[in-house]
Parts: sequence; C-alpha cells; structure tokens
Amino acid sequence: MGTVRQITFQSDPQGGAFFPGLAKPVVIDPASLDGEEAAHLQTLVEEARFFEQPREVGTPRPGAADYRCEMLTIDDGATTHTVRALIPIADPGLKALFDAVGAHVRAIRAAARR
Amino acid sequence: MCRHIPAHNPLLCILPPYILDGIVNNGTQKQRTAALRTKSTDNTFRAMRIARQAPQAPAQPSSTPQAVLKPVRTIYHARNQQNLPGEIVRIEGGPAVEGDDAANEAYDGLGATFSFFADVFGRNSIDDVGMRLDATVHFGDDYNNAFWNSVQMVFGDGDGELFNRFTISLDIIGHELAHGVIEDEAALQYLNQPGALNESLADVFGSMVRQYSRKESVRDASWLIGDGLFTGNVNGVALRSMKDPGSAFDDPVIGRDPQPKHMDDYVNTFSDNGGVHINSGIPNHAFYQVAMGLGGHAWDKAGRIWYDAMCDPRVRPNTGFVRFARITADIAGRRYGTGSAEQRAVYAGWDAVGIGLQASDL
Repeated sequence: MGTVRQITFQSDPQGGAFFPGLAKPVVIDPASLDGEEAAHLQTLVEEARFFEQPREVGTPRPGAADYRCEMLTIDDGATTHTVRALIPIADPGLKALFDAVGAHVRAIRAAARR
Repeated sequence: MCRHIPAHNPLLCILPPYILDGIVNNGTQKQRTAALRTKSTDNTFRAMRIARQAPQAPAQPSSTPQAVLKPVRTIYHARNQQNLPGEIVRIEGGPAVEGDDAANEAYDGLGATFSFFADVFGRNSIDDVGMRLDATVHFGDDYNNAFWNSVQMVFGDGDGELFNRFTISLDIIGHELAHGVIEDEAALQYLNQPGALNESLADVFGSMVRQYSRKESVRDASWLIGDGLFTGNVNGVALRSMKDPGSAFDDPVIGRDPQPKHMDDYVNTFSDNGGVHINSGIPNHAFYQVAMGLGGHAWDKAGRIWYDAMCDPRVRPNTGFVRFARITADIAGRRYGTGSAEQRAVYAGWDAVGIGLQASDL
C-alpha cells in the first residue's frame, strides 16, 4: 500500500440515538497532522491490513439493539477502501486503528465547539 | 414468555390447565419451560375467546405470586476494554461497590426494571422464566453508548465532553432491558418501521420504569428519555422527548433532534437502520397522548394495553405502526369494552399522530 492521503470517519448507526451532527463524515488529512501522528496512523493502517479487510466486519446478533457501527474510508492514492465495523471490534489491529481515528475525530469535534 | 417456540410439543397442547400446573410445579426445568409456554399461549387464546363475548374487567394483578419473582443480577466491569462480559464486581444481594456509581446504578436500575415488569405485569424477567440480568459497565474508553447485544446490557462511561455515563438515567437502563423483553415477545425486525416500533416500545417501557420507581402521575412525568445524559456542553435536555418529539436537543455539534411526531413528517432514510431512533417519535407520542388522555399512572391502563399488544401473537417481526395501532385499539376494546373511554383514548392517541383507525380495521 501507498502513503495514506485521506481518512474519512463515519458512524451509522450511532447507538441508542440519532444525532444528525455526529452522523456527518469527518475527514482527516494526515498531511495536516504533525509528522509523528501521521506516521503512527500510517503504521496502524498497515498493521491492521486495512486494505485486505472485508467491507463488513462483525454482524449484530438477532435481537440486538442500539448497537453502533463505525466506518472508515481510506485513500492511499492508488486505492480507496471502506470498512464498516460493528463495535466492539474483535481484531486487535483493526480496533487499534479505529480507536486512534476515533480519538482524532473527538479532538476535531471538540476544537469545532471551541 | 417467548412464543417463538423452536420445537413444538404436541403433548402439551391438549393438556388441561391443572395438568400444566402440575408440570410447572413438579417437572424438570425443560418440562417446566415447555409447560409455561403452553400455558401462556393457551391463556392468550382463551382470553381472546372470552373477550369476544363480553368486555373484560379492569386490569388485575398477575396470578403469579409476586414473592417468588426475584431478580438475579450480575454486574461486570470491563476495565475500559471492549471485552464482554468483563470481571464480576457485584452479584445479587452483594454490597454496593465502593466508589463505583456506574456499577451501583446498573445494579439498582436492573432491579427497578425487574420490579416494574414483575409488579405491574407479573413478568418474571426478560424471558418470563427468570432469565438472569447481566450488565457490563465501564465498557470501552470514553464510550458513548449503551446497548443490548441480545445476551446482556452494556454501558459506556461517556466521553465527558458530550455525554455522561450511560447508567445515569434509569429510563436508559429500562430501555435496554426492555429490548430483551421485546425480542422475546415480538421479535420485531430492527429495521425501518418495525425497528422504529421496537425502539418506541423500549422507550415506552423505559419511561414507565422511571415513572413507576417515582410513583409519578402522567402529568408529573417528564416524558424524557436519557435525562441527565448530556454534559453541560450540550444544548439539550435528553436524547428524546415523548411529549414533544423533535425538541430534545438543538446543538451546534450533535445537531437538532430529528424526531417527527406525526406521520406527515415520517422520515425515509437509510441512516440509523432506516430511522429506527428517528421515526420512533411517532408511536412514542401516540403513547404519550393515550396516557395523558387516560390520566393517573401510565402503567395502569395505557401501559397495560401496550404490554398486551406487544405480547399479542398478531404482532409479527414485520409489524409496522398501523398494525400495532389496530392491535392496541382491539385490546383496549376487549379489556375495557368496545367504545369505552379507554378505547376512545387509544383511537385519539393514534389519531393525534396521523394514524386514523376505523372500527372495520379491527
């Protein structure tokens, strides 16, 4: 895979409620991050073998409710791939990637509020 | 009790009630379960036959001895990981966990929810045969959600930025446990209109759990779902309002409450499993209207009608609003009399949200 150019995060369904503001996609441009953070995300994408993952990871049990799914779309210049994962994610590598992106998303939203 | 019986037992179908009672009292666990299922189904059809002949008396307490209905609660701590169920921190009858509000709120909330279903409907836990109640708290890191995974309840701590811990609101705990009851009784698909009905029923019972614990009248109740869940950073009062869907929050970050309260504003969307948390505002508001129309305590009449409707075999996994509304009106007529004030209140409640029912629909 090439260098990650863009990561798009989205959550749908969001869990026990629907918030239009939190349903909007959040775009992370690694070039806008400091070098260490960008390199960390690149490593996590590689360790998660993101581009080899299926489009859907995890299926809710029949009868489950208020569950949350998160979706990452990553563009490395040559390929764009999307993975939609049911939370909790069992695969440790994929979970680490989703957690790290989620932390960036929270920081972006907190900055927007300020 | 679950009426989606995987294996049919013809022997239990022809037995009179006293024989079934004997099996319930003296049989093996498997035999007891089958007999209880048969009694439930049999009682439903017997009640339907009787109801066709004459109006039913007002709601009576269950014949099940209340003293035998006791919860079996286990609270687990996920240590901010996402592994379920986690480590046991409190068991039934055990002491409060020092310094852990979430664990104690979950324990107390499960108890309040169990008591509501037991006291009001004579129901013995999620499956009506005493299913243990398991909940995990401190799930994930800053996790903004609570959910039912079809086995147990799970509560996150919230991120502290937008959300507080998800055990803070009793109606949320009641809502999650009610999903288990709904799954057991109605198995409504979690998609589109059946999914929105599923969500609405969870809100209806979640709200009543809170009202019952406080002994609130319909006029004293807040009719909010998730009151206290938002931090002070959010411009909002709760996740949803049954009294006024669409008014619970309006915030620059999380957006504006998208719930409609009338069929004219029904939202067709692919998001949120087809708008299950959006369009639930419509039947939520119908229930509110019925409860307000009847006055007193919501669980006495409106809640009883909704509970009986949820348990009615005519509710199928693909049941939408209109079908469910017809069943509630039918049940109100059977229980309180055709043309009774209760049945008229049900008609009026659904009419207020744009679901007009004709007597010929029933």
